[in-house]
Amino acid sequence: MPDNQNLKQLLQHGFRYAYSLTHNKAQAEDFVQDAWLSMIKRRAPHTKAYFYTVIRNKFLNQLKHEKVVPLISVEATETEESLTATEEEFSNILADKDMIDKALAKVKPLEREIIYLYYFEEYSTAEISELTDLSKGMVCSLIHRTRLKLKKHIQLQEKKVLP
Amino acid sequence: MKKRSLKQHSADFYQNQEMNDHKLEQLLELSTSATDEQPRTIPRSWLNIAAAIIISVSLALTSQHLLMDKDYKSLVPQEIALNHAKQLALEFETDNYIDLDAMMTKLDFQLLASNNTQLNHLKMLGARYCSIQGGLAAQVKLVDEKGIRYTLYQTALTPELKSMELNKTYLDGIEIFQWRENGLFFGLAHSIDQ
Repeated sequence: MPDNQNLKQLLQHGFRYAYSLTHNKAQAEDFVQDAWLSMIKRRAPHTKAYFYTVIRNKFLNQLKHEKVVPLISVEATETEESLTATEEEFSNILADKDMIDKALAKVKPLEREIIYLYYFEEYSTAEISELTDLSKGMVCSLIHRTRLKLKKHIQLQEKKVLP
Repeated sequence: MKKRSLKQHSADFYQNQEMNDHKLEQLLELSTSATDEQPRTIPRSWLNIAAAIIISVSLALTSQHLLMDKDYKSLVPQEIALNHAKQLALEFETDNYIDLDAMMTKLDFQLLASNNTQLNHLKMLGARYCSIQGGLAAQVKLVDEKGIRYTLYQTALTPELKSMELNKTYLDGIEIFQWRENGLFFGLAHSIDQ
């Protein structure tokens, strides 16, 4: 059994991941609690990968129950190399916490999820592909498309702020 | 406002999100109480289920040994068709996966509402435990608007199920459709002569 400090870290990671899906603190806490209870009941391994999978499945089940279609249609047009090559395009963005918050709220749950996994967790596209069951090409294209969307939303807010 | 890369902005944004201490302590408490829990007497019904699982696993292993030359991809649909034809009673009655997942605690995988469009017109009646090639599975009973009964199987992917070729199959008047999704194997069966 991992010690309390490790469990706290795992729970905080789970919370951030759930928050990337919901963009709502109360909902994220509910998903984490549900997933945690489920893992305890099943005596499942307390690993981040398993915790994320449980949270994700609970989130997808909830969408399905509410008859919301979570899937995003995306063509696999990008590669890992092209992602790295175009990273420069997304440097030097002028923003504060509030602007990032609003921009993230504008994109879809699975787009936020991919940004969280790629930029915060620094997962490789192969690892994201394994968790999300999307092909690597689709993951790369989704990252690229979401980056463009976020940049656009931030720039729109920037124009409103600056004279 | 700071000029930084999107990567830094996003990473910092999520780094700053934290679950409140009270909630965190509550969840940690749940883990501790689960660990401290005294071993309970195992109900007879569980022993029966365990015995059934052990027998199923032994039979599956024996059959696997005896049928080594047989194609794995034909054994799974056969098992699905056989289970579908039995129409055994439900162990859990519910119409949604959220409740079902909470009820079927013995499964070592998370039940998932599939995105397969074939399931869109089907209503869930409930489920029971079953096994597919020795692995514990959920057997979900569904019904369409005409009252035709369907059986949906979900189980965790084993190396064999992961690499198995998937086809639509017809066996003894039962249509079986198989697919993989989100790390699970799915099999949908219904009688075509109803």
